[in-house]
Amino acid sequence: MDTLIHMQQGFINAAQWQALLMMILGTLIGTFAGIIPGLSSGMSVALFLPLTFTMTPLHGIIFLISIYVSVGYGGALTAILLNTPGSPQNAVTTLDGFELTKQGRAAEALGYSISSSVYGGLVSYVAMLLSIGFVATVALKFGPPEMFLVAIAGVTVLGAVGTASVAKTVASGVFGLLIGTIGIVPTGEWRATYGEPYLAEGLPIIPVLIGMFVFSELMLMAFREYVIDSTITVKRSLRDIFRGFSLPAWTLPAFLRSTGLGVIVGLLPAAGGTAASFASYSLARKMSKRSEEYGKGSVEGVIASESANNACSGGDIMTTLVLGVPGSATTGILLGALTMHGLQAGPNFVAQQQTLVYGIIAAAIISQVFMVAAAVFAAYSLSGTLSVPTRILVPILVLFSVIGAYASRNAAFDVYLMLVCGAVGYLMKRTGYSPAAVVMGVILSPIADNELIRMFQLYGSDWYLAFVTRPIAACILALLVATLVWSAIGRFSARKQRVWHTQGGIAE
Amino acid sequence: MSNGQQTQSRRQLLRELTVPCVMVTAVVLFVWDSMHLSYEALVFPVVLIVIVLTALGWALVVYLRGDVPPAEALKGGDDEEGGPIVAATPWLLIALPAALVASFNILGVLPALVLLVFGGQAIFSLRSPLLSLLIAIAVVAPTYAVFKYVLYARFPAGILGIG
Repeated sequence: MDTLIHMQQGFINAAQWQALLMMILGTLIGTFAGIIPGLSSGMSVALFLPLTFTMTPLHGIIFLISIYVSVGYGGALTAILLNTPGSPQNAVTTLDGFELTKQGRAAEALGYSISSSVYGGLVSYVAMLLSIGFVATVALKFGPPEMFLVAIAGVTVLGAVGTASVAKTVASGVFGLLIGTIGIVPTGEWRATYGEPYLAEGLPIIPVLIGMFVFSELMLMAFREYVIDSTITVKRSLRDIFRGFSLPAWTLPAFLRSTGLGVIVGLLPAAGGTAASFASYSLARKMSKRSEEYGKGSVEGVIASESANNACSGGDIMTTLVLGVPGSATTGILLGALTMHGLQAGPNFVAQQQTLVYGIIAAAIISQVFMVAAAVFAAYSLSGTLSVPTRILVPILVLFSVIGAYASRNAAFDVYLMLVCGAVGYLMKRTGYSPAAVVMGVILSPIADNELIRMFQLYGSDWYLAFVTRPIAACILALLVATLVWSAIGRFSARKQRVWHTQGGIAE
Repeated sequence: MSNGQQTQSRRQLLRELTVPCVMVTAVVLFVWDSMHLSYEALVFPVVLIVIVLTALGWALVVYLRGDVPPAEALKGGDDEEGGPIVAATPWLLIALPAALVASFNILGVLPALVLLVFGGQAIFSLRSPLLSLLIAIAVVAPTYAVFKYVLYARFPAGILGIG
């Protein structure tokens, strides 16, 4: 009964005009940011995080979640119209979306992408609304060993599911964990701060986020004259866009499978929308009766990719709120925003802040309406040529980065830290390392560090036995090891296949 | 192997070593100021340091064996498309804000930010100085107002007293 009252109050709070305004603003910003390649959801949320300083926690989180979710919508538009995914999670959409554009079916493809995104998102948020209470009850049984393992899993899984080098992703993630331990330790000692008071509370998350996500990308943009450079023009048709809103019956199995897979992938710490869309596209292709159409303009392909990456966001946000461990780098920033507002996500957070949690979920559901409007408007107006010169865009984003980093604590130290992180992030991106893994590490490090020290205090010299003697901890450990082994086997067989193909090519 | 190829492969190796060098330097600095810590405070970072160094070594071995996955090879070898890693433009984007933030207390935040946007445009190509200056003022003024009057950020005023 209590849950229903909190749920009702959450919906009432989310329907107030201030909350609705935040949804509209967040949606407009997110859709616009999604259209610009290079502005990923993480980068956009990090860039606008400083604007939430003076907002209430609910309004701040609603604003950021609206940006996070709508970036995916915006990104799909350019993926379909210009063969340029606005963010990595839309990369798969280009395979069939752009083919449909070339066949003169752009508006229809846009309609399918918008509708499958909305339906996928709605299913995942409703699932989250109905299950978050139960999941939080289970999570309340988590002690220091379980929380430590979940935090470590967040970084490790990134290495396992990522597409880049495992060694480099692991090095990046663990390096993030290491620098995240800088600051005052729970034992009262100052660790690696060199007596700098600005580092006493650890590495400030906002400058690190802006530096690693935003500034490093701006440095990469320096080599391009235009962010998008295309001369493709397509027919504008609102009727065709709306026609895509009724998904054909034969695409429903693919939609349902992709949405289910998206929700599950979203629940995994660190997996994210990109992994979800790739996995669901590959599954849909394997199980489809029209698999030969994939890559040549398959409607099913667009639906599989877009429904999965949006369905992923519900699971992603739930993992973040319930466990206090981000489901992706972007929700890591949302976690940072909660911390900034004095809130600590985790099992207790869901139990103690039920109205706020249900308010966030309610806002995610309501905001879908604004997202449809923004996406249709953007799809209609974008159906022409779009080019953004970097000489205008980059200096403006540099300004936002500098002022955002400075305003978080009114300290020039934070701007310098942001610039250092930007330079390191740039070098990492150019050499195949993962700045996102560093950020995940920095965010998860205080959780892992504090829980480990609590384990020392609780279990004494036999602390490591707690990982195998506690059933939930043993299960998490087994799952973690299984994920790593499965990933290693997958990579090994992929490598063998590559070698086999190469040798075959030589023989021919 | 020709001289050109040797130079190219040496340059690629140096490029591959850039991030490991940055990370190892950070690890050394971390250890330098952590020698005094208790066992409880030290065990987690020590384990992490061992893993970081192992992973960096592993990445280097993978590179030296030429066993780089295709996606990564693309990312790492984009000198032609992405420009050289030491190209001036991206590093000027770091130098300009660093210099202007250092001058916040002298210039004041508002003029420094206008110079930042103007200078940022100049780094790419200054087609019309007057237009660039107008764009800088048009962008900085509302941003500054939002942070100053809506978010109550405190900015140094500088000698002009605008902050």
